[in-house]
Amino acid sequence: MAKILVIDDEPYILLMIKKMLEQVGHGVDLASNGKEGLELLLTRPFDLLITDIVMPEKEGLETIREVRKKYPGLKIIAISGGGRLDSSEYLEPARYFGAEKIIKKPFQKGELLNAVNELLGGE
Amino acid sequence: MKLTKSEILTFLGIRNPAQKELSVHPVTLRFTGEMEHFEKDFLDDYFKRIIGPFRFSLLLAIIFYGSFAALDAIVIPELKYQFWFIRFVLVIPVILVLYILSYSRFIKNYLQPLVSVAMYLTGLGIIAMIIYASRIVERDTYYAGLILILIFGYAFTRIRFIYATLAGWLIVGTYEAAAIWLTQTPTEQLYNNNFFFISANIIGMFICYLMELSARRDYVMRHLLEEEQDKVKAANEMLEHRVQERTAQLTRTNRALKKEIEMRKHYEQEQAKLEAQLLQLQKIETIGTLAGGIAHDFNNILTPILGYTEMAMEELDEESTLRYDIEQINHAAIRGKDLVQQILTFSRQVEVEKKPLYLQEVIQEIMNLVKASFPSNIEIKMDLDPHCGTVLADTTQIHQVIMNLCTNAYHAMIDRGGILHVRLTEKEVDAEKAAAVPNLEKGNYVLVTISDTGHGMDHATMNRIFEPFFTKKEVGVGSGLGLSVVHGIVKSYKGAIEVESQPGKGSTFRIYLPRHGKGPSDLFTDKEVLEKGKETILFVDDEEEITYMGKKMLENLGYRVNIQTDTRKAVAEFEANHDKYDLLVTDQTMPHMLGTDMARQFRQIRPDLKVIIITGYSNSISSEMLEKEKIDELVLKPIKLSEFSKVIRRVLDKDNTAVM
Repeated sequence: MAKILVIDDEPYILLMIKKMLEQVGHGVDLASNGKEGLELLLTRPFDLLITDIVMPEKEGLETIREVRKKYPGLKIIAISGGGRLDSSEYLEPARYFGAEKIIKKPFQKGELLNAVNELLGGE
Repeated sequence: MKLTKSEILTFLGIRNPAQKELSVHPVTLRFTGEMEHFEKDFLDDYFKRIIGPFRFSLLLAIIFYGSFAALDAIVIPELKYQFWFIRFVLVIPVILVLYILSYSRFIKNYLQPLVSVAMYLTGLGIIAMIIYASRIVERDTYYAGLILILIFGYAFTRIRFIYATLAGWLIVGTYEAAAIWLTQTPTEQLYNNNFFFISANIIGMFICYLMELSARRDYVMRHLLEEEQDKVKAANEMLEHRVQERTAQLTRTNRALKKEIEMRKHYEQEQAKLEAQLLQLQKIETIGTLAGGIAHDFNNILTPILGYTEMAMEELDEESTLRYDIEQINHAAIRGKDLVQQILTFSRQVEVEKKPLYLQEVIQEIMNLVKASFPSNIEIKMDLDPHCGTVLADTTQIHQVIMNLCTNAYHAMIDRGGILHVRLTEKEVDAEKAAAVPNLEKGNYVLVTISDTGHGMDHATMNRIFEPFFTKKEVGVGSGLGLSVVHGIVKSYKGAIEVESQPGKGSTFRIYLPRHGKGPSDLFTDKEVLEKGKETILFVDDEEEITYMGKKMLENLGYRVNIQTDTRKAVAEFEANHDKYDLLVTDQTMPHMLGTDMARQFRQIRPDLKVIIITGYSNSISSEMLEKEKIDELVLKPIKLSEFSKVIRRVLDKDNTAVM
C-alpha cells in the first residue's frame, strides 16, 4: 500500500497514528519534528505526509511550505490541537500553504482514515 | 516763659506719656507747628461745646449780681439806689444782651472778646460801687466782690485763657487806679487787697489755662481717634474690597476648575474607551494564549485516548464488559474535547459585561484550569472565604486578572518549584491603609491575594511591572502586556493592587475590588424536586442580589425572567410590555412603592395578571390586605427554591376566573 510519513512531537500520537494506518496496511515512518521529517524525505519516496503544526525545531507550516516546493506531488494532511483561539487557527494557513486536508485534534479514527483514503484513492 | 509743651503737661499732671504731645503756644494756647491746622476747627468745635454751659453761666452771673442788691441795702443803705442802678440798669442788661446775642448766628467769632468785655464791665460796676462806698465808710468791703468776679470769669464762663487773663488784669489795674486816685484807701488796705486780687487772678489763670489746655487736648485726642477710626474704616473697606475681589477671583477660578474637571472627565471617558479597546485586543492575546495553550495540550492528551479507545473497542466483542468500560473512557474523552472547545469559545467572549459576581465560584473555576496546567513541583493552596460578598465585574476579565497573576507565579517558580497560594477574603480598608496603597480608598473590599514562593523581584522591577511591554521573562514567554492589563482591569473596577516582593522570597499580589453586595444568603437553599415552566415573569426587588439569584434560579426552571430593582423602572417596563407577562413576583417593601400598590396599578392594565408578593416579615402585610388586593400568594423569605417553584406553578396554573 502507500508509504506515509507522520510528523508530530507527541510520541503517543505518533504511535497511535502509526497503528491506525498499519492496521489498514500502509507503510508508516515517523519523525518528531519538521527537520527530521525533511531529512527522512530525502532518503526515500513517500505518497503522503501527515504533519502536526506546533512543534519544536521546525514547525508544521514551514515544513508544509518547504515540502510543497520540493515535492509537488506529495499529498499532505495537516493535524493540529489548536492555536490561541481555535483548533483550526493554524489549520487554515496550512491549507493555504498547500495541505490538501486538515484534521482537528482530537480526531476519531474514521476521520483520519477517510482523509487518507480520499487522498490516496486516485492511485 | 519758655516751657516746652511736654514740660507743661507733665507739670500739670495731665500728660500721659502714651498720648500724643500737644503742640501749643505756651501763652495763647493756640495750636502751633504740626497742629496749627487744628486751630480753626478747634475754635468751631469749642464754641459748639461751650455755648450751653456759657449761657448757663450768664444766667448764674445775673442771679449772683442781682442777689447782692440785698447786701447793698444792709451794708450801705444810703447808697442802695445808686448801687441798684449800677447792678440792674448798667451791668445786668449788658449780660442779658450778651445772653440774647449768644443765640445769634453771627456771635461766634466775637463771643470770646465780648465775654471778656462783659467780665471787665461787671468788674467795673463793682469798682464804681467801691468808689461810692469809700466816701461814706472807712473800710472797703466790696473788694471781695472783685475776687468773686475773677473766679467766676476764669472758671465758669468758659472764656479762653487769653481773654480771661486780659479782662482779669484790666480789672485789677482799674481798681489800682481808682484806689490810688479816686479814693483815699489806706496803704495797708491797698496792700491787703492787692494780695487777694493778684492771688485770685493767678489761681483763676491756672484754672482757665488748665481748662483750655484740657479742652484742646480732648479735641486733639478726639481728632486722632476719628482719624484712627477713619483709618480702620478705610482698612475695613479695603479689606472688604479685597474680599470681594478675591471672591470674584475664586468664582472665576472655580468656574475654570469646573470646566477643567469636565474636560478631564471627558478625556478620562475617552481614555477609558481607548483602554477598553486596547483591553479587548490584549484580552484576545492574553486569554487566547493561555486558553489556547491549555487547549492545545489537552487536545494532544485527548487524541491518543480517543484513538486508542476506538481501536481497542474495535477489537473487543460487543458484549464484553471491557469494551463497555473502554467505551466509557471514549465518551469521557469526547466530553473532554467538547469542554476544550467551550474553553476556547469562552476565551473569545470579548464583550465586557459587569454584573455581581461571587469570586469564590469564579476563582474555583479558574484554579481548576490552573491546576490542570501547572507542573507537579508547584503546590497549589486555596483559602476561599465562602461568605465573601460580590463584586461588580466581568467574569472574563476576572479570569484574565487571576490567570495572568497565576501565570506570572508559574514563571517565577518553574525552575525550583514552590507554593502558589490563592486567598479570598473580605477586607475593610481604613484611612491609614488607604493612604498606604496607591489608588485605594476607604471602604469595604473583596481581597484576592495571590502569592508565590518564586524568585521575587527587586524594587526597580516592582516599580515597573505595570508598564505595558515591560517584561522580565524571556522573549516569547508572555506578551509583556500581562500586568498592565491586570492593572487596567482592576482600575476600571475602582480597585487597587498592592505588590509585595523580595528577591528570592517570592511575590504577593493583593487585588482589592470594591465589595458590591453581601455574601451568599440562604435565600434559595434546597435541592428538592423543582417544578418548571415556560411563562414570563417580572421579578421586582430593590435588592440586586436577590433579583440576580431569582433570575438565575427561575431561568434554570425554564421561565423567562425580567428583573427590576427600581420600582419606577418596573412600572415603565410593565406599561410598555404588559402583554408579555404572566406573573409579577415582587418584594412588598421597596422605595417609592409597595408591592401591593404595584400589583393594583398593574391589574388596571392587565386584570388577569398573577401576583406573588415576597416579604421578610409576615406582619408587614395583613391577610385582609391580601384579600383586598387579590394577591395570589404570599412568600416569606428565606425562600426554599422547591417550594417557590411549586408556588409559582400553582399560581400560574390557577383558573383566571377564580382570581378575578
